[in-house]
Amino acid sequence: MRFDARGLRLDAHIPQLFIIAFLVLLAGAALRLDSPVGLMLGDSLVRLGMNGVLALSLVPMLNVGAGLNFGLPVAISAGLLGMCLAVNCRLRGLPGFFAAIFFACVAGVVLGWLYGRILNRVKGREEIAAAFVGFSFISIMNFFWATAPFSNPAMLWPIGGKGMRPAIGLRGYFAGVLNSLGSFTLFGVTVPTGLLVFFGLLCLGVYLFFRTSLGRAMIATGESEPFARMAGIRVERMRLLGVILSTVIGAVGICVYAQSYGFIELYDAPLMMAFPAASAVLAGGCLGGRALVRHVVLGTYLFQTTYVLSGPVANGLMVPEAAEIIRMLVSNGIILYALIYEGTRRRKHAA
Amino acid sequence: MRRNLVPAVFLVLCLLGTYYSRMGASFVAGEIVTRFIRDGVLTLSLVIPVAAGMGLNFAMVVGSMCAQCGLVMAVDYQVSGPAGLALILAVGLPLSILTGWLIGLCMNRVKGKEMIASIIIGFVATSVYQLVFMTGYGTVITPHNRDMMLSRGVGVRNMIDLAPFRNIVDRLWVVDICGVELPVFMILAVLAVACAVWLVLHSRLGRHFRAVAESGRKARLSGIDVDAVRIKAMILSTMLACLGQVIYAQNIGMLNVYTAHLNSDVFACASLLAGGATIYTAKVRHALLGVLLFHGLFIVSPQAGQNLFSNAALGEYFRSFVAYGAIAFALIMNIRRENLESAGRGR
Amino acid sequence: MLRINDLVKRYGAHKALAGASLCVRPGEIHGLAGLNGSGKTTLLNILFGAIKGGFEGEITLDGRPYAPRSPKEAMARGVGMIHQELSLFNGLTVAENITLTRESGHPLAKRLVGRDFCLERPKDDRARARRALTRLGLSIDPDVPAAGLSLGARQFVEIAREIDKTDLRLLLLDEPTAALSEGDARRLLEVLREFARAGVMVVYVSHRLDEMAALCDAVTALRDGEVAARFSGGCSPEDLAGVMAGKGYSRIRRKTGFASENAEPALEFADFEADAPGERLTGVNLRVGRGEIVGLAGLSGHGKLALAKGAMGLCPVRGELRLFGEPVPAGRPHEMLRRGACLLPEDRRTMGLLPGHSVVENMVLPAAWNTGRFLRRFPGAGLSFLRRRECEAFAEGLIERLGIKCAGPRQRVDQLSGGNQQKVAIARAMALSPRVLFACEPTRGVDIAAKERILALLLSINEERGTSVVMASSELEELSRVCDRTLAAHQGRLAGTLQSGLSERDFALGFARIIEKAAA
Repeated sequence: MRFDARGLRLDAHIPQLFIIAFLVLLAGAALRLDSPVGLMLGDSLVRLGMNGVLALSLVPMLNVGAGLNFGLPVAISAGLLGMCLAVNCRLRGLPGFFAAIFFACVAGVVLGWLYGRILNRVKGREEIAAAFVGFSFISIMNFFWATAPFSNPAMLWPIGGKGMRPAIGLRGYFAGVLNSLGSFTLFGVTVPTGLLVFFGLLCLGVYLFFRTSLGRAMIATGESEPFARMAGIRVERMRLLGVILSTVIGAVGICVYAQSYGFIELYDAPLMMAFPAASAVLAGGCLGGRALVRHVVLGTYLFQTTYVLSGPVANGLMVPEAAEIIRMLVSNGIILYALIYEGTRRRKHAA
Repeated sequence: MRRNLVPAVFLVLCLLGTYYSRMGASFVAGEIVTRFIRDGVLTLSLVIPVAAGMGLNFAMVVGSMCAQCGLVMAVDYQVSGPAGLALILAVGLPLSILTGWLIGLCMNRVKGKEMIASIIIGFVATSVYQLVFMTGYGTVITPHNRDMMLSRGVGVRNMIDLAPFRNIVDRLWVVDICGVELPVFMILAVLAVACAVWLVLHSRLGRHFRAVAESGRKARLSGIDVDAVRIKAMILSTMLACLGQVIYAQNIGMLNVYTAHLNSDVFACASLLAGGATIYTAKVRHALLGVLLFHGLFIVSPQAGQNLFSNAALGEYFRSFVAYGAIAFALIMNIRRENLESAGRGR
Repeated sequence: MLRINDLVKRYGAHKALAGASLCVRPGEIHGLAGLNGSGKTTLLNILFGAIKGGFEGEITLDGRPYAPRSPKEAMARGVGMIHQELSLFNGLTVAENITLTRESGHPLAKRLVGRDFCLERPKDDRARARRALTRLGLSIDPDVPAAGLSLGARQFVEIAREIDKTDLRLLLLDEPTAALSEGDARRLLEVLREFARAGVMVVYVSHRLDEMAALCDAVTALRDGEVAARFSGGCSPEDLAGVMAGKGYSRIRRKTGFASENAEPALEFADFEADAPGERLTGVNLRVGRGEIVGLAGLSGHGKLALAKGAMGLCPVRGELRLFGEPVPAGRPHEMLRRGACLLPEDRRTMGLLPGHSVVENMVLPAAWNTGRFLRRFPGAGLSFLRRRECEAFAEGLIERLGIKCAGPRQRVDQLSGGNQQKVAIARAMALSPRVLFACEPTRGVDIAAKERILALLLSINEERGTSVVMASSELEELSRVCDRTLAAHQGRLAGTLQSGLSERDFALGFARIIEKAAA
């Protein structure tokens, strides 16, 4: 049952318009450079699947009122841990991948519980606190990676045999297991069926969850804590649950990402991963309201397609770096716009 | 007691680190003096926004970028020596007033979320800045100094040699005490800026900062233009950050055009917090003490890590953990206390 | 001379002020009387520039048009205000508070570095503060932080701030004596007379009718945003009470003798104490019978809202509370809800409704969550989906029964008017089928017609199901009509009881007597 009858508001769609304009610009340039359209289309589908889960992981926290999860590195660390365990046990193929996801979920629940406890202490300013919890958690994990007692030599520094490599190749483990599952090529576009189905199932799960009474109680908590408390909803518990859910989905998300990318990237690699995920959700239209699954899908697709297009375009430019810089500008500009937009709305409400 | 807990912890860590690093005390002292000069003003630039109730101003990197614009201009026009320094400030300070005003406008629209907004503002500004120097130079802007350009003719090089400005003011009035070189002039200069910040905090404006920090609503009812006061705080902070970055760059003598400013915000914030400040109260002495403690720990930790665990990387990780962790810890503890107090007060 | 002509202030469809006019001469103390929601405070806030969003009508001050957009602009025209909620800064000293925005500075420094960067001159500030405080006959040390001062002292420091203004033309006071003892209040009134003798115009708002009758040269009584009566020269407290209550439109009234406190108890409070945000209530010993309607009257901040919040477990409490004979654990709203108690909060926007949700969701979600009503059986344990048809049928039924004006059950609730929102909140409570209902300010900010409808609804819930109702309201007249008995809260205690069956005028006078006795 969808009750949302809000009319179209232009100022809430500026990020979308902005990113679409940028996309059109890139697409025009790419076409003039005779880039392979089919290849790029297939690439954008792969990128949607591999990044979509990470963006999806922001939804529970947004809906429960804990803000954009700039502490995504915590969830990512849980996922990395799960994958490293699976690789260390030399589990391969789809079973290896699902074992990795299982380990990642267990780690995600534990870390999410701790992280949620922290975020319950900083109510109202979760975003800034989460960002720095994430940053400092990365350096804690760096300690761990440097001293972790893993034994599979494929993961360790080749010289000395102590400490993890910064990038662990997954070839021979579960690189691309989802991407290649049932994939087919149509008009030159390779469709990564397994990846998209997996992403779609997760989206469906999140969508259905937020229509159950528990999910609705979480949304109510996010919209108005006083109301939730008055309605007998235990606010702290809902928030904790939302954060755990976000962390678990984020942990799964990095597994999906890594199997598609082919490498597990450790150490400082996840440091800034929260920001593109956040701007993807915002670009999808999640502004000043509850986060919907369609925001995630639309936003991630738009956002990731700019990646795909900016590659070939950059090579055609005199200054190849410009494409990447502008992409960063658009990405962070969207987050800034969202903050200002919501702040202005709060100001109007207060007056 | 509680107030001095954080500085005390940092002091103990510093002393332990110095002991295990097996570095000479005079070497460490000399390094700390250098860092004090380099980072002192950058850290001081954070005091005013905290006093005005806006939290840690991560957007101070914008001030740093303004300084770097000035530096690049000076190298471009090949103005060296004191005249160059004057040019750098003449470009950097007005630019930082302008950007500070813009940041202030943003901050007034995101009340309650200033800190996260300031981080993102820093990111956005970095992109704009990189765009200007990477693509603007050589296309829209005509460079006068070919040496600083990339070979393709568009874009400034990553590293610029600041030889014409290296240590112009650093080497003034250097005194040698037991093997430690003390650039007295620069120490006095940093202390003079500290003094200026102290004076601002005790001026009419400083009183308004305190009033606005306590309650924007009450301040408005008392006839204070709250938005204007907050904008002034941001302008002052950005200007000080600009000045700080000029001192930093000329001390190092090289300018990493695209990345030199990137971590200045995190280090400055961590330093301020190490000195005992919180996100709601900061005093000049917190900044001065914090620079010594935080950078002291920074100097010794890699070597201490190497000696303790025979792995220098661990010391590096410890360093970044200290920087990020100090901020995370302060945020969690301060916000929690504020939430408890406001629940107790009943507002 | 202050002239206000046909002043209108709208909040959406609601008019807080609907064409008020008045005129204050220099040296005059002008009283503003009226019930809560009659527009007194709105009028003062407009005069002080503290309201955003503009207004309609014309104001002139000393012959020049006057339309301040901020307190800063108001102050520049010589207008000062003393607020109901005190506006002193805890982190500043008394002297700093008194001289804030009018700080002393060295004239040369002002020239050189501008006024902002002028160093403070604590000595001068202190001297000015002391001078002002001495005129009030106070010996407060100007160097102590304002945080440590008593309520009364803070009020006088605010007065001292106004005394320190050399250019004060118009002084606005909103309930300045609410927090003061009898002696302090008398001294304050004396100071106001001094201001008036010096030619300052004083506009004075108070609930203490005796005080107003004694002090003011002229009184304007407001009702529902309009001027109900003007008195120049003398007027008696009885006159004021009569005019404020107003007459004229058809009104609901409780059938007397319907229920009594001697019925089987629904709620029993023993030495109960509730610490709600902004107000406390202590020492409550109270039995509410089944089917009884108990009113709670009192000025804002004096504790009438704390009882409901404390009982529902929404704020820290002490003492004992029994619901239908069984003790209830503190701080567990869900326990109270599951046992049949329900709250209608005073703050609709943040607490009473989910503004981004639809009408039907607002009605059914709390019931679904707490009682499992409207939920499918499968798979249970919080993961069940709603039974959509049942929800909509329920919502449509209540929309019709309560006369909620909306496009349908799926309209977003923040698009409704205040009165209709309140009806949605009542429907939410009805979905829970409560046996005890706490209603806080149920008619705040709604128009007269909606108000009558809401009161009728509360009565019908009570009569149909025997629900006990505890109703806290600032509007004496509605309490006098609806409640079986009314308790008056003053300064955090229940100071006395008003029986039903009194005329509205006697009821208002009785209330005024109770709180005056409590203050003495």
